[in-house]
Amino acid sequence: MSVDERDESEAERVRRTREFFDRPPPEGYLEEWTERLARPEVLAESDIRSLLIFRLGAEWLALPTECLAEVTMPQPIHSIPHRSNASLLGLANIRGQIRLCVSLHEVLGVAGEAQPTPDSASARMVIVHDRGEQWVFLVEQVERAIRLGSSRLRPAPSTLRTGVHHTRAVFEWSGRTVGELDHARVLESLRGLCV
Amino acid sequence: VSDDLSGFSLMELFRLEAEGQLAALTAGLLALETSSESTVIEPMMRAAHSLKGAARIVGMSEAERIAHVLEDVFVAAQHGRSQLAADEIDRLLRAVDLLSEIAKQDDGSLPAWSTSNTPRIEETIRSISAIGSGGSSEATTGVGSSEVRSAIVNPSLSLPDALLEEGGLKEQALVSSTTAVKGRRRGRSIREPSVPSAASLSIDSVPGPSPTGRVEPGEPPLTPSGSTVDTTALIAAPVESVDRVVRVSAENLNRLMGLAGESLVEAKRLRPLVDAMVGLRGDLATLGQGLDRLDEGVDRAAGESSGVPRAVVGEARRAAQRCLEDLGQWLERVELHARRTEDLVERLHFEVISSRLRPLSDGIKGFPRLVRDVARQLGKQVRLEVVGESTGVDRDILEKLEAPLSHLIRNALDHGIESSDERGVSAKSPVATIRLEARHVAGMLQIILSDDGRGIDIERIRAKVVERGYASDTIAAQLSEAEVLEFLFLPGFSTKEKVTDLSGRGVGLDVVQSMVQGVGGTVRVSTRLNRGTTFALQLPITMSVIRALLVRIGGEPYAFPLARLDRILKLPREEIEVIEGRRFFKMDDRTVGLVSAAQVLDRSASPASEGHLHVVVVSDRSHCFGVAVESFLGELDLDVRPLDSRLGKVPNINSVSILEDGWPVLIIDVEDLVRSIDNLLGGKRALTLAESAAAASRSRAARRVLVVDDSITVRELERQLLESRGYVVEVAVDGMDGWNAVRTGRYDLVVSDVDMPRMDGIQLVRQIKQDARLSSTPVVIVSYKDRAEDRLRGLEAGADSYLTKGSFHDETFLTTVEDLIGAARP
Repeated sequence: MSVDERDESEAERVRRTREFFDRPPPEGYLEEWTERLARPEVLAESDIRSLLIFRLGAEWLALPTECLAEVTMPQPIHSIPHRSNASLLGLANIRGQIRLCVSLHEVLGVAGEAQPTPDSASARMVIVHDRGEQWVFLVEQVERAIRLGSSRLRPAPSTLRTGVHHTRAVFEWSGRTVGELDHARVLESLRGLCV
Repeated sequence: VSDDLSGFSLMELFRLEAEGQLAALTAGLLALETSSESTVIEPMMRAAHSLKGAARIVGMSEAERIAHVLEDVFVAAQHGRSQLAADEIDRLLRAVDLLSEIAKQDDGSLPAWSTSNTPRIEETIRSISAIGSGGSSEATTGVGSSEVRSAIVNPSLSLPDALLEEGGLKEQALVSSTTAVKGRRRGRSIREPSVPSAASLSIDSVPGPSPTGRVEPGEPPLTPSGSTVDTTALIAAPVESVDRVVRVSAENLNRLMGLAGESLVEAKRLRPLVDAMVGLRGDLATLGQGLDRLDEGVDRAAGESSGVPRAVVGEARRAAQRCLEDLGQWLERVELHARRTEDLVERLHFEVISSRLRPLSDGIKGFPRLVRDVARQLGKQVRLEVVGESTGVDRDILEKLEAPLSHLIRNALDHGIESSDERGVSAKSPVATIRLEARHVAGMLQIILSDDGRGIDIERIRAKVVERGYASDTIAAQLSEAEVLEFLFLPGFSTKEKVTDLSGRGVGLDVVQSMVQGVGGTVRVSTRLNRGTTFALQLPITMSVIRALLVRIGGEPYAFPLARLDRILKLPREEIEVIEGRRFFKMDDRTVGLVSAAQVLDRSASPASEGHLHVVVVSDRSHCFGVAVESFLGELDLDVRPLDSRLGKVPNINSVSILEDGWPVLIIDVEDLVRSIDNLLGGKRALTLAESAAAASRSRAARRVLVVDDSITVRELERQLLESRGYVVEVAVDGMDGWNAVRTGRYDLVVSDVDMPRMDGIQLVRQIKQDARLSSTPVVIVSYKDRAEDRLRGLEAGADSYLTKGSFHDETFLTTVEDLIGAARP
């Protein structure tokens, strides 16, 4: 193939590409999309909540995403002399900031292995924030964040763990029952750990 | 205008410029008192001159006029036409003050300010003009020529208005950042004809000096041929002070620091990758050798077999060779990359860390002037000596230091330093010295302010303590010198009868103390009669960087501030001796008690290393202990961060940091640790089981009181009083100690002082009252402070009763105790 021929075919390809992209839209196409995009969102904001689903021991739980700061790989936790206990685990380095680590297992009284081993592949650290404070806890697994209509929520069963309830409602998701945590109460309990 | 690029408005730039030039003027004027060299005058002349130009640009005619007359004076002085003595310098300094007041006004407040200050401005201008009036006609010519110079020498601020207003240039012109300007250069250059005075702007043609050398334009701004003048670059002469005022929020800086730290951790992870590749290269080499041998074998057997396997082996051999070569090359590149990245990130980390520190000199700029003015007013001769000006001080602390330090300096000038005559009598140099010294000591920032004045008469204060009814004769007589001096920090406790407008009465040493305590520091005073007084400020460096020894305790990393270590030892086990169940060892003919760090910190100990014990020797004024850790991990710099406030004060722990491998590390509070060890060995917990059971049964019936006071005299007095009534009394030496004690022992009542090191009484009460288990324990505060607001503060914190130390004289103290918890035995 001579140089000229190659140049010509190059020019031809460019021309055809341009033609393809610049072709006029089919009849009614623009109108249809204009109409579709102008239509207001059907879903009312108040009905939809965004939740992060995770596993704590054998339980599937969910927290509203607005109280989440971050989900990271597990980091080593340094215990605190005279302070650390089963609920207050210690300090961890999260992106260069020292954060307080708690055991949500302890706080919620979740059965199963007391602590997920940080080196299990699915374990994650979840960081929640509230009023300028951050709290870090380990979970066995983070499933995903979902958007959920409130119509799918059912009230928490009355037989729920005695004592303090942290679960606001339950819902079915992927064949599992997930408890939606009342994040205000959870945070309150976390705060109680430090007094 | 304001939010372009680096975000400086016209006025802000003027303020920056003014700040620098006014500082130069002040420094110059102060220097002038000791030398009348023209070398001192010249920089001032330039400063006044630049200021004038700058003021003109922002349209501050008052500032411009004042700067103008100042310049005249300096021009005249330089030519020997006027003499600048102390009086003139006073006047000039007042003018400088006025200028800095003007510079502090913002765009909105300026008009109102200048209207109300017109008489002052006029008066100042008149009084300054009077100084230079000697050679007024010449001065005028001088000004004329210097104005021309202004336009030339200081292009950053003196470009003709016409030019500035052209084509929106004004906006950009004032962003004094070369980098910011670079990107715009192309579109913004202006052809020469449109710049009327462009030719004269060429720096080369400027005779004479450039002001303080800092308005030299950036390297490439002018093309000598003059075909095109890049105005932006010309204007963008870097102003030194610009980077001094870039404001970054603390939170921002913290995040930046965190990210820099994390980058460092990540960069260090490249190293293992490189090592893994080195391993891979080794394996590949082995593979190659195997193939070589195979090839040789095939070679030898060539006669019998067909040629096919030989070709295959040869091919494999060559492929392996290529892999090895490629891998070698890649390895080299990756290694280089890793090294560069590490180096780069390390530097970044260092820069971020040091961006928090400012030299002390930044915070004490006003002091030479303060000393000069006050000394002159008092008719004393005083020299200020500053040592350690470049000592790094955390910017937050630096900001809060100026007020207490200037209080102390005023104090020294007014009360401490004698008049020259008086000094003559005691054979001292007529010129007194105030010395300000800063350094990092023992993991703290230490600032020492000393004078060589008359000192404080301890006995006079002792007498006053009695006279004021703070203590009885007998108690006052027992107070140590240091305890007597503590009274100086009480509100309203004055040592000088005469009230002066300079430092007032008592000079608010209590204010100084509360300011220093506000940043978590302490003030101590020591004095020698007729030799002088020294105030030592210890300030935390919680925001600074410390050098630390990294150790392992309970399998986790901890750090000891290097400055607080006496020494570290690897102690053979056979050198450890035991007496009465306590372990100790000999060090320089001393016996030093030995405890395990894990025990003190309440951690489970990991198996210790064989053969040697790793011992860190720590001490305070009265104790020295060996602390056995599991291993030494090395020495390193740590950027110290405060512990999460939600944790409260954690015993034995001071702060926290992050290691290079990403692990959090706790930094030991050595002072606290020594106390804890002392308690562990000497007190409560070291009792045998039988002993403690016996003690418990003995005291079961009696009510228990905890006395918290840092003065041993008061502590003992309270203990004796309470024990005389049958109460069981335990003591704690400060709030922190008290807080630790209150949580471990069961007490029916706590008696606490207010002013104590480490944790004051108010905080202690607050902690007790906020603790669910302890909140019902009554607390009595006993303090020297008897003002209504002190009382209120104590009661608001939750104290059940607030007594003054005078209450020991009568039954008030004991009655209060009985009212709260009843008699010693129910």
